[in-house]
Amino acid sequence: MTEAWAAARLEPGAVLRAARFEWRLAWQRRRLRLPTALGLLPVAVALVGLLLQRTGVVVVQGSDVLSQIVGTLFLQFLVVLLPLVHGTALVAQEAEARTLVYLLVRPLSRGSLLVGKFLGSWLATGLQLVIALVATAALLLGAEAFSSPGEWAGRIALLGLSLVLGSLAYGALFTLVGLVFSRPAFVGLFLAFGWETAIPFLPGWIRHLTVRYHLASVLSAGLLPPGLLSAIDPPTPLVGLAWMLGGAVVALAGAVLLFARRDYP
Amino acid sequence: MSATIEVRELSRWYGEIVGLSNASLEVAPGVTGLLGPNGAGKSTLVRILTGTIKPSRGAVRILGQPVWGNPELFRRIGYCPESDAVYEGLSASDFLRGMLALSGVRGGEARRRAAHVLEEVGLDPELRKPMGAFSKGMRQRAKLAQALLLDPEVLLLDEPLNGMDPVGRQQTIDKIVAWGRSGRTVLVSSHILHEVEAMTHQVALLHRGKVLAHGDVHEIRDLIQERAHVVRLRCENPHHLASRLIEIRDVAGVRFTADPHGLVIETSSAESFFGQLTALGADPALGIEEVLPLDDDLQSVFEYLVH
Repeated sequence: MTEAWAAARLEPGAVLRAARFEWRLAWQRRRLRLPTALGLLPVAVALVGLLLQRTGVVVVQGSDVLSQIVGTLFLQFLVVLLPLVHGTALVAQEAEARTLVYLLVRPLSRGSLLVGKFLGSWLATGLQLVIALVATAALLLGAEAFSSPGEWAGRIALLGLSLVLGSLAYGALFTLVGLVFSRPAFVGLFLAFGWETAIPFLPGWIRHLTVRYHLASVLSAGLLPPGLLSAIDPPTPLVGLAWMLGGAVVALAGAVLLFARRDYP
Repeated sequence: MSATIEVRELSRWYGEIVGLSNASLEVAPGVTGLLGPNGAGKSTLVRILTGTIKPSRGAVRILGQPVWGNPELFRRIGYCPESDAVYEGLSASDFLRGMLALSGVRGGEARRRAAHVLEEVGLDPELRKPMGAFSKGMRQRAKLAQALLLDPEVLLLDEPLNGMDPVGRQQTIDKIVAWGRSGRTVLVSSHILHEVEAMTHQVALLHRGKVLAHGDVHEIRDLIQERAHVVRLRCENPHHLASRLIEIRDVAGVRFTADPHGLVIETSSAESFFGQLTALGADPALGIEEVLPLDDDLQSVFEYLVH
């Protein structure tokens, strides 16, 4: 047990080194394909909306379209799917590709390695989400955003922050899933689009075991159109934030303990 | 010389399959070959030595320290894995600098070290091609380079010549010999006996998870007393030599070969036989030109031990 704890221990310098390494890997061309494809989805929808608006087919405000895209594509799809892809692959992909061994024989503990990799991956995921959000908003808001930049800049910043927080909680959860299950993608998809879709709407304590329930609380301060998340009846933003951060820490700690004890032949 | 790698009663099971069974071994500075057929337990032993898997029982110490849960030890150990996997999208230089950054070496020092080890293994430091486009031999060189990054005292090389062309093999063998001579402890795992024989006579022979023997291959051969030593002789007058040889008590058999100047003898005691052969060699009438032991090579020793 002592050996497992020794392997799991965190050293800030080593965590930072591993985070930098993972950050660089995340921006490699072959790793960017899926995030780019997913990130282009809301941009494409925004372009269609813009086209319909400009041609007069529909009369709708750009801000309304943006709210709908954020509420559906970003919060129910991208903020779950991108961390799912990155989190479940964080160790499994390197183990499968047999590159993990290069990392395991470096002078840094397994705990530092995993947490560093997680942080690097999370920051890259968060930035990819924010880039997609800003690009979508820029397309849809255009002149409207320029006429009142303060208000929209603040709202976009808060939305971006919410997405980054959501990706932190989901990323930690899916990192744990990636270490517990041999087929993490299937379990991740079930959690993402089964559990996370249905459970937040149930009454009682069980909804606390979802990320979306708490993410809704952070987003409830006028960031989304009324009705989109109102059925969830979220807690206060502070409670939601505490649950998400606490959940991320617990999930990551579990992942570190598993990673520190496991054989990687 | 004191051992830098100590393996004590090491066992590793994969469910009901025995990977390694009560293996004990000491490896001193210099090159040591870890030999055995596929499935003998070589890779299991190397993986335990690198802390990527845990032993089921027993202990391993490198440079006097335990391996598992001791990442700082990897500043002193370099490991070249068997698999030819690399980060496909990275150039060799970026890969090495990434590995150095993980070890806390960055900036100009990282660039300098990466360039140095790339040159050491015969790769161009300026090559920007991603490793995914490398040949197997080039990947092997890049893998060797990453093992050398921190100028380690101990090198663990798992099948380091896999996929290399003949020239590359010879260059790498020469490098490995040089690393051993420089005082490093180099443990080379291989299933190709003649490659190891070209690097060292110090070997550990593994078979079915057990260490059958370790030490100098010639000394191991001498210890296998139930098998007669086979020696080929070449001389001016083989019939005359044969008549003299059969008078020697330790000679168990003499036979002539297709070569009119050759004959093959079997002896139960190589040491005694070679002592007496020296005396015969002084006789100009016999004209002994060549003495070649046929079965104290690694292949023969290994076969004797296994069968």
